[in-house]
Amino acid sequence: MHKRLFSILFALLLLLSVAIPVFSHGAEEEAVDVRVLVRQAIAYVEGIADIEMAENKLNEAIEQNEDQKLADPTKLQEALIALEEERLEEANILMLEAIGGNPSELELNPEFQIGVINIILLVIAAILLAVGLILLNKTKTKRGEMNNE
Amino acid sequence: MSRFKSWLKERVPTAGFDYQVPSHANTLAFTLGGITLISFIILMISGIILAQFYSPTPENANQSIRILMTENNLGNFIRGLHYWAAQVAIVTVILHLLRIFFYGSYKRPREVNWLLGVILFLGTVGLYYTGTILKWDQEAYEALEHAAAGAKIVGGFAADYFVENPAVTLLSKFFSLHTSLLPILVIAVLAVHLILVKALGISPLPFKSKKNSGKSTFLVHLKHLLAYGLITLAVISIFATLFPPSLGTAPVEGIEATKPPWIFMSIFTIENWFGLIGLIITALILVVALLLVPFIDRKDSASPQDRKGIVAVGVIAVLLFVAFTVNAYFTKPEQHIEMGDEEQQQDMEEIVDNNDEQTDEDQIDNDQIDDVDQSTEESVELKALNQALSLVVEIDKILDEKGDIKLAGEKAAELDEVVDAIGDQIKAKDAKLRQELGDIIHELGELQEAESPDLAKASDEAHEAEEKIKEAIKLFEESAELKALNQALSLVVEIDKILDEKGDFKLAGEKAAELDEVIDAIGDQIEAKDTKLRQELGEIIHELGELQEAKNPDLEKASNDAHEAEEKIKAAIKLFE
Repeated sequence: MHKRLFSILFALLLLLSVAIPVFSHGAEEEAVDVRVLVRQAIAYVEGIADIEMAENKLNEAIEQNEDQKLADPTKLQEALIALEEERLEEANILMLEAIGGNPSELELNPEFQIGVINIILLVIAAILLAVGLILLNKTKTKRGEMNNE
Repeated sequence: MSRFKSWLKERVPTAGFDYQVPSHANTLAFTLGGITLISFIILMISGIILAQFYSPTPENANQSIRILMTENNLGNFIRGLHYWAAQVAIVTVILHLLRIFFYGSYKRPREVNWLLGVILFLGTVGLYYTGTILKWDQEAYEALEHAAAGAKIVGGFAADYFVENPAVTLLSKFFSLHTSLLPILVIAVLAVHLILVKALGISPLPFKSKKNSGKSTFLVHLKHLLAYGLITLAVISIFATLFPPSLGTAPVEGIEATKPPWIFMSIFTIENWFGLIGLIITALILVVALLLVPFIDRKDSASPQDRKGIVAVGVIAVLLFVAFTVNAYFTKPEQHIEMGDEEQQQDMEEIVDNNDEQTDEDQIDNDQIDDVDQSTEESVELKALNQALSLVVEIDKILDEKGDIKLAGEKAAELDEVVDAIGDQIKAKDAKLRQELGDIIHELGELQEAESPDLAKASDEAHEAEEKIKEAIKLFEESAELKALNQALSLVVEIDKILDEKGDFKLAGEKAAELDEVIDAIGDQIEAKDTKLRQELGEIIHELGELQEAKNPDLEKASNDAHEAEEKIKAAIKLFE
């Protein structure tokens, strides 16, 4: 009886020893830097607005961050909620802040603003356009005269 | 005024330009090339200005453009001029090429000028492509990665060009291409192109036109061109003011999350369907087909009626271009060039695991690598590097004890695979070391095929490789400090938040105690780099830690301390980066 029990225990021990590398291999998969994952999530939002891929990356980042502790977990969670609710701009800011970044690093979309410089530029452009059109009209008339000759 | 006119006429005689040209030369269709030229001039002027504010390094490129856009009054406008002029140039060069194709203007005796035109078209596309890379955002990075992957497939000079020198990045190479090599090529070919236009005359219309059948002069044509030039400049300026171009976030590696600019959308569809090789083959076919056009269509008549076959091919090509472009806008990009980090990770782990098994079988002497820290939380890079170290020790042993050059060469090939799997990671930390290590391993790998190998030299190389791998290991061990500092940064941010939002001093104090532990663990390393910073950081954290027991804590002071600690930790991170 003892001999049988010993055999079973030995077999279990052997099985476990063989299985250990498998378990340890699982742990090795956690090697991607949280900050990289978060930046990838931002890139998916900014690039092709692929919310699903961004959420996957962010979920992965949240999971990895439990070990790596490189990002602010609260902000990551808030960013995930914002992503799910498709508040993309807010999600990007939260993600970037979570990894210690500054929102000024995000996509820069300059917009037209009514100001002195812009008005001067538009006036100059309008003058150029008018001169160009007048000149074109003049040369066309001349061309017509030549054709009639 | 008339005196000035006659004075000027004497000094700038225009009679030489007053030669006859056909009347149709003044139509928009025959002025498209001229508009491209005007756009080039705008591009050159705006490009020279932009270059004064641009830093062609991966670390600073994106940021330098941001500074130009946000801190200079005309920054957005100049960048907008450059961007919109590029759009006009690419559109007009395509339309110009199509006009010549459909009008049969490439026919005898203009075949050579057509070839020059095709080179100019490719030069313009090249300038557009290299320009998109310089902005160094995600789209730019992915474009560069595609080019590098394509060059790898093509091989030869193309592959060699994309090998980064430790001191010269690909970005700086592309900056040079964009600002010197390609413009010089375009200007030189353009000069010959224009001389040939003058020598051969403006091509005739392929059909009868009552409206444009007369004669004109080149001076009238120049005035016409000037008028179009002014209109082009005006339109570009309006667009640059109203719609300044955006700039994406600095790039991150490992993903394909963008689509290319519109001009490349059609080949992007082909890449989505057939992969990078499909893209290369299509581009090659297109270029060869363009070059061969005048030699395929050799009929004398330029009339589309008499060239139905080739015109039909052209129409189909244009329709496919449009259809593929539209398709790309509605398609999710595939992972074309295996930039996926998971894939890289898996490849790397497979190699490491395979070598694990081999190493166990080979029973190598591990005593020599005891100086390497085998921590339980070893990163994949460290594991691969330790594996590489084992292999190099084994190579050395094979050379010393058995003198078996062939076996040593085989092991070097394995070593090459292991190091290649983490090549990018090493390069990111020390490009020079990556290059040197690659060179030595490559030389060791050649032992397999060497006819009369030098054993002593090979042994020296193995020792050198061992030293380089140990250096690389140190690079990744250093990241432990960075890891701790980043953890510290997260903690201090958390403390600040607790103080600001909850005002919970006890909890903040507890977190500060945790922070103290984290910093203490790497205190010596910080001190070795900056004693003052270590001391100041210790003092601030100590003060924050006292919040736990303070009876009447000062919230403002605590918050200031947290901010100060954050700044110090960021300074410490910079030391280790």
